[in-house]
Amino acid sequence: MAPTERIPRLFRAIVVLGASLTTNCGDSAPPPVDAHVVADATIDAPAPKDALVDADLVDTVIIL
Amino acid sequence: MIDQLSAEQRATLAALWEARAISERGVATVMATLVTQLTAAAADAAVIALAIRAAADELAHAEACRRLASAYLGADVPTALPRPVELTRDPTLDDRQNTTLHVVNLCCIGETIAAAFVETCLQHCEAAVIRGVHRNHLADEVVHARIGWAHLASTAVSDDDRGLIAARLPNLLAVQLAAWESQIAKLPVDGIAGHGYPPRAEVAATVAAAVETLVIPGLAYVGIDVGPASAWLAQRAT
Ligand SMILES: [Fe+2]
Ligand SMILES: [Fe+2]
Repeated sequence: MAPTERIPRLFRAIVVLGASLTTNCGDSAPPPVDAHVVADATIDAPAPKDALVDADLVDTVIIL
Repeated sequence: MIDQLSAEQRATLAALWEARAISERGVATVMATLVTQLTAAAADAAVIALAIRAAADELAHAEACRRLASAYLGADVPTALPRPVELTRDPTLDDRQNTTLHVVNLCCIGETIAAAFVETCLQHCEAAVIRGVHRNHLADEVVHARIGWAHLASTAVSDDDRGLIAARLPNLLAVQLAAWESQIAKLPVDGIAGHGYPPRAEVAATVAAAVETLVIPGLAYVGIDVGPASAWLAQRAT
């Protein structure tokens, strides 16, 4: 996918939902701020939030 | 996956992630500064709450980057030290106006481009762990960018502020694009396949597309006159 083809999804996730946090203009959807919902809006599946604090991360990378 | 890399590629990746850890640590300091500024500027509570979260997220990003650097290096990379950061201040403007421009610069432009950048990097990740790190970063960058769009859509930003933003946009874009270009110049020309580093040209195309299709239309969406910025971009392209 070319960068420009991915943009509409990002525009909605970033600009439209961002602006809707402080206004009611332009979008009727509730503003999701939860990381899983954000991930859904931008990529194919929920982001495993725990990966960032996974103590085994380094080891896991090494053995890949 | 790592053991299929040459020693040189491992060293390159370790250095790239260590530099990224240091940069994330700097962004954490900037976000913490922004929390104080937004509070003083009586920003919407939702905006301040996102900025508080962002400061903590950036510290977590620094640690995730440090761990990846250590994994590639095969040795522990030290934690990046907090960096003193001073946001440039225009003495002809009051504190609230300076804060508004900082938010536009850091979040509407910087974090929005960063989200597009990380999404492109994500297309170039193979291993689940590396994808996971990028996906977390992407989800967070989206939220950090929203700080800016939520602030500009709020009643804390006046019509005069909107005029100020419109007038200063070419300058802000020039500074941000120069910063991105200098960072892109440090990346491997051909990228590192499977490890989240696209070829340089693809990163440059992503940044350009983010400005043209996210930042500029986004500013128009929240009621900023993007005429001067569009004119500047068009002139820059020739
Ligand atoms: Fe970050
Ligand atoms: Fe960020």
